[in-house]
Amino acid sequence: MAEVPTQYGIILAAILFSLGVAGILLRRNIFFVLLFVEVMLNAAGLAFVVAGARWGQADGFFVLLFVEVMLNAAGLAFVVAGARWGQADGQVMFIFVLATAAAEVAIGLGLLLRLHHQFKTLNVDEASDLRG
Amino acid sequence: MIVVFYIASGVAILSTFLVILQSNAVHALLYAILSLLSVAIVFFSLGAPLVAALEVIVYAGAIMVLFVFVVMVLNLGPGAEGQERVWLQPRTWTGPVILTLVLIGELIYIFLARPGLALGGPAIGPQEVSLALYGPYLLGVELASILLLAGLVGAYHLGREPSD
Repeated sequence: MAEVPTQYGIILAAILFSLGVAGILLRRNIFFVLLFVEVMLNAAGLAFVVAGARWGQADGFFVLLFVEVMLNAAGLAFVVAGARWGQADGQVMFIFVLATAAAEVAIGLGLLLRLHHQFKTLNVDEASDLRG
Repeated sequence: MIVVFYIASGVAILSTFLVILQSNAVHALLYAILSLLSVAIVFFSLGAPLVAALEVIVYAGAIMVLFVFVVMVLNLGPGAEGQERVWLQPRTWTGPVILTLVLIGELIYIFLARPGLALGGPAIGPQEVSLALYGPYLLGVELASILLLAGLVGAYHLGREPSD
């Protein structure tokens, strides 16, 4: 089927992840911050699928790298990440990332609505003081 | 399939970049949906049809619809757009942009310095993914369900009207 070099898939994930990081760093609206968390989680999922689409055993370098990307983005699936890197495993990881994203967006949007209710703004800096 | 991969990758990067530049929340959201859909095409071209479908259904469907719903609930006026534009001054974005460019440069250098294998092989259908999911990864499924339950309880708690 596809004859895409592995690095290109990973580089795409890295670029998307970095764009998500840049977005979080330079937007102050909590709505945009949540949106970029979604972008980053999506990039982490892409890295997993690329890893799973590769034939044969992945070497330790790539496995560590994927664990790194995932730890940055999701954080749940690392329990099983070290196990095996066969064919379907990448997609399984993506499903876990998806579940994490769903849980994250529920909490995040709940927090967003509370912030708007409390401070009448979406500026994340307003929430710097917890009980100030 | 190669051409499809490269075109979809370009669209994904461009639309994600445009999400950063938008000051209107709805426009940013639409670009984000475009980015997710193009990543779904990338998944399909890599031989992962189940994940491509899940990307469209869960990410572009459920999660982004939730974002649209919140935008509607908040009912942000034209004032919010001006506020966003005020926040997007060069003074605010130069630092993060430089740091992120350094990060991207390093990542690309590391990946290109390694000898690469071609991605390929036959497409992996839903059956194999399901067998792996409910076989060796059963613990992960249980953990994901606990996490989703925690998300549900947390969202309910945050969304409730304060009693005092």
